[in-house]
Amino acid sequence: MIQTTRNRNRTYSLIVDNLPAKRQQIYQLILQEYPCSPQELLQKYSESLKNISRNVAMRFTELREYGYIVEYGTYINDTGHSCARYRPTSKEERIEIIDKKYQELVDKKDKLVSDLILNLSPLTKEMVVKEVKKIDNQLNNL
Amino acid sequence: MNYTDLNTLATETNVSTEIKMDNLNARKDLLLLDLQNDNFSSLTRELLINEVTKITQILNNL
Repeated sequence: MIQTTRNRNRTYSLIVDNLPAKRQQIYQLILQEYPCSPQELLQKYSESLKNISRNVAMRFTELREYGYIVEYGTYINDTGHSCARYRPTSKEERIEIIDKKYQELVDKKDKLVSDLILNLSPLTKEMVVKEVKKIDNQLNNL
Repeated sequence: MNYTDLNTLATETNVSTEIKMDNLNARKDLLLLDLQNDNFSSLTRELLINEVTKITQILNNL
């Protein structure tokens, strides 16, 4: 348990400074409460979360997208729906998640770029170029 | 004003409904024509289908 806590704190100090403020605050709460769901955090910190972020679930999604947290079990909530709980990832896990995501995005970009040489309307090409730029942004944010 | 931009076209209140419909229909026709091409990736196809769906919804609400 002590080792787990040490690892957790070390990982936290390595990456948490790079997060935008709202994500960072939610991430800090996840580190305290894991495994937990957005709903559980909202229930426990309803007052303080009002000031942090209106959409806690969205912050969870962003953290998951960038490999900071992973799904860790489920539970049935008050309305009978199955909800996912999350836990922070280790440095190694995050690297693995980012590598996978990077490859997915690069593959996606390659397909779109190869479509640009086809005989498509300028309108479609413009849409494809916008999508490529979006992917470039995602790649830069990994 | 850029009337080739879908969002501008959908939200610009000073443009008459007729002009909006003409522009949106022209845009939709172009995309449908591109959709007949079988050579591009499923990603581009998905982009086109989403855009056509969006235009159809806007046209239905005009």
